[in-house]
Amino acid sequence: MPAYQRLLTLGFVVSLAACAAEPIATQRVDTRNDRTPVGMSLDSRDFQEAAQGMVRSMLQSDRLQARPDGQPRVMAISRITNDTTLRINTNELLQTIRRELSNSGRIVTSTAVGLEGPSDPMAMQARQLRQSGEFDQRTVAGRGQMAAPDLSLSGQIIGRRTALDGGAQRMDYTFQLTLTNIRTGIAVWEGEERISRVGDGRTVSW
Amino acid sequence: MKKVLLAGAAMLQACTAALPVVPPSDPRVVVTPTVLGSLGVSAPSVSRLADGRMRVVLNVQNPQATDFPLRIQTEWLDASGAALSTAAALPQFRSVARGTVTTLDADAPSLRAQDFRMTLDVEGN
Repeated sequence: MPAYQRLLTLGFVVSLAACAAEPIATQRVDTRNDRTPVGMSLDSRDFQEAAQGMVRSMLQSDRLQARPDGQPRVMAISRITNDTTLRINTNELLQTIRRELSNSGRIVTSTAVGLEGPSDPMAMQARQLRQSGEFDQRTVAGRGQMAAPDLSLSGQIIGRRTALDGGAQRMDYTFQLTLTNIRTGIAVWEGEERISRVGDGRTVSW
Repeated sequence: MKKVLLAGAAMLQACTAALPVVPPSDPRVVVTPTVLGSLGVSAPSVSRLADGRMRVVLNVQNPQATDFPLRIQTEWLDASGAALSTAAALPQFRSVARGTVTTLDADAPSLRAQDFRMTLDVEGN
């Protein structure tokens, strides 16, 4: 190989190496003190922030006090619609809301009733032990012991992309939740939280 | 040239001196030097909500000509001083608008919260 070709090859290899990005070292993230960069789509911090705002609003509402006997109200989870281009597991939002409400002592969640069946079928399944002579019947759940929900939680997550001047884009994610009194069918609380981003228009989020 | 520079420096110093920075005397509010150098922070007002939970309210003043990205984290402590595990303790982001006063408030997640520690820092630090 002539010398000038060797030089060219060497130069090509060197320029390729220069173009290669610095490897990013894997690091642990303390989610209670998370300062990692954000992207155009939603991450766990956004769900936590939305849930936090919703719970705060719920607990501030005079219409969502505990029952007169001091017992917490019982909430069932209804339909939460994902109207974004993201693949979202709505439990990221709901689990935080359920936990915070439960810890507040005002509202608890029924896992025995759900729009598409109970989220935990064991409560009903365990009642079949009434037929079994193998179990001490005093330890088996009796009839009429389940608490029916008096509140239903429904809502949607909406995503809107807007192209901005200069090739930028804006993403707005709106979380809307409604608590309905099952007895009357009237919405007793409605909340909305918005998470917005502005970034490079070439970024695709899904 | 020197006179112009001196005048500029004097004006800058005057601006800094006029900054209404009030370091909170309450040890429950932790303000980082970056925030303290840009915003005025009032002492916290602590009250009880109708259901008995604690509420903390304080004001931050931004005399600057630019918005300030503020990161607020409020930890809630039980009677033994242990931090409660709650979404209410996660950091929140607020953009404190230029030339305005912004009211920050935080509600305790439950009656178990007996005390708090609020930290104000710059977002993206």
